[in-house]
Amino acid sequence: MKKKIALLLAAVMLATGVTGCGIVTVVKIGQEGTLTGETEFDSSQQSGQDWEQVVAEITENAKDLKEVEGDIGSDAVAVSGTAVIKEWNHEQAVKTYIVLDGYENEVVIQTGSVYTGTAVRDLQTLKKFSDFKNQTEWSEYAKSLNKESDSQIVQPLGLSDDVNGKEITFVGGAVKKAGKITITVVSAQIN
Amino acid sequence: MKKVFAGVLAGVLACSAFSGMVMADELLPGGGSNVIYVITPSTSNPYFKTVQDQATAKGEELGYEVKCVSHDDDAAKQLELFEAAANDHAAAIICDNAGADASIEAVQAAYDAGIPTFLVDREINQEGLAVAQLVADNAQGAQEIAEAWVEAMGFEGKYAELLGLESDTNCQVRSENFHSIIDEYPDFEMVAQQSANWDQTEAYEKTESILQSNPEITGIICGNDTMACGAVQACIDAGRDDIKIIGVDGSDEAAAYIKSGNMVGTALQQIALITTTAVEEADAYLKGTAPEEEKQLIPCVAITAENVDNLSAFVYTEGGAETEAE
Repeated sequence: MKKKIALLLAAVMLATGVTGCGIVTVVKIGQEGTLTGETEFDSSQQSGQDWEQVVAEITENAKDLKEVEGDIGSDAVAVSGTAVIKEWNHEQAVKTYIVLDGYENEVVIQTGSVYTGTAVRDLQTLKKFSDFKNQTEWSEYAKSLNKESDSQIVQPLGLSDDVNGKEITFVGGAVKKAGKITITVVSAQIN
Repeated sequence: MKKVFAGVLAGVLACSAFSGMVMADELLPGGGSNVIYVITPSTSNPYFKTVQDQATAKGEELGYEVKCVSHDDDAAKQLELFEAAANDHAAAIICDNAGADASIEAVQAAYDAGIPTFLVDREINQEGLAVAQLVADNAQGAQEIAEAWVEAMGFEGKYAELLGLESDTNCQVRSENFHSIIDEYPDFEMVAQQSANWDQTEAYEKTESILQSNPEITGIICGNDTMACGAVQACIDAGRDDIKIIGVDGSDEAAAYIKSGNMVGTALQQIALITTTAVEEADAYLKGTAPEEEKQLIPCVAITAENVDNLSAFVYTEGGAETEAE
């Protein structure tokens, strides 16, 4: 019996040793997460997956901007509306925006290429801060949602000076800072 | 033999299951006294003095004795202070910690002693030890004030950056998020980036030397207001009133420079609000209600010349400045 146990033990030790020497799992560079379970954070992948639900939620909660513009402050509010485009301002190539007519406040829709703020992220409930590792990831998620707005909504509008004077129908997240309401759209159509 | 092995296996399994049960949904009882310890960096920085003052005011209002001590950003000293709080049977600890990794041991010690810890201002790199981690949204704050700075700079120019203590998470988060905005604009060029370790004198000296070696800069971005104020003073002394400077914190000194036009702005971390919220959560926890989330973000407020009158003693009040909450 003792002999058998000793042999078994030796076999186990040998097997362990061999595993250490040669029989190992080879993981390709960049695919370590398949073994460790830890994958590199990809905010654009998450925003891409979530975009449709985010749009649906903001659209469902949106209120007519004319009715709520007086209540908008630094916290994001879901808004919708139809308004005449006073001007598409592209003096700064990287920070362009549409100026809307017909509101009591100065109201603009940001049209990139740089987008500011976290209104879209802050209006969705699909994900929350604690779902992310840290503030930077949470912030990257906001920026990626803004990029979805750019690629899926703003770019297809094909903006040019021809839009001045036309009507736009929009849904988005709005915040007011320094007396100006800035909207990041989740849907928009130039009529 | 089989019986022995089965017994050991059952023991191991039972142990694992039991450990899981202990960790889950159990409130820490506190040390048994009515004392709340407030442990922060040195109060020579008014920001941390605000933490101690606000925690004391709110704690006393809720009926606690509040003891304030400083770890001076020394993790070893912080651990000693946590142990002292445990020996004093502290009911809870409010802490603005001495480093995301270096503080884990201290918070673990409090956890092991059954004392709930509520972290303010700075996170630690582990969840499940502190009851709450209430931090300012530094990413959002840095981005918003960077946006204001980009506009003040006219969307172009050469600039320098003064970093805080590079091992501090807030230093990295603020810098990364400054750049997440600024780097989107092609006409900006960073010509110098140096750490001034959150320190005003060091920031003054670094700015002085940057201005000599890079006189073409028109902007300086700073990881906190203490460094921003040092940079402002160096620019004033060098006769450079054209330099656009931003910081983060929302100190009264920065507010004064914004009013005088020497600073573009700062991102106010609502530390007074964060601290009083932490004390309220500690009180609720000791009475049996844990906060819903451990990690809680409090938004920053971008302060510029347009709204600086609403800021006083780290308290922002829409529609006009009010005195700090008592």
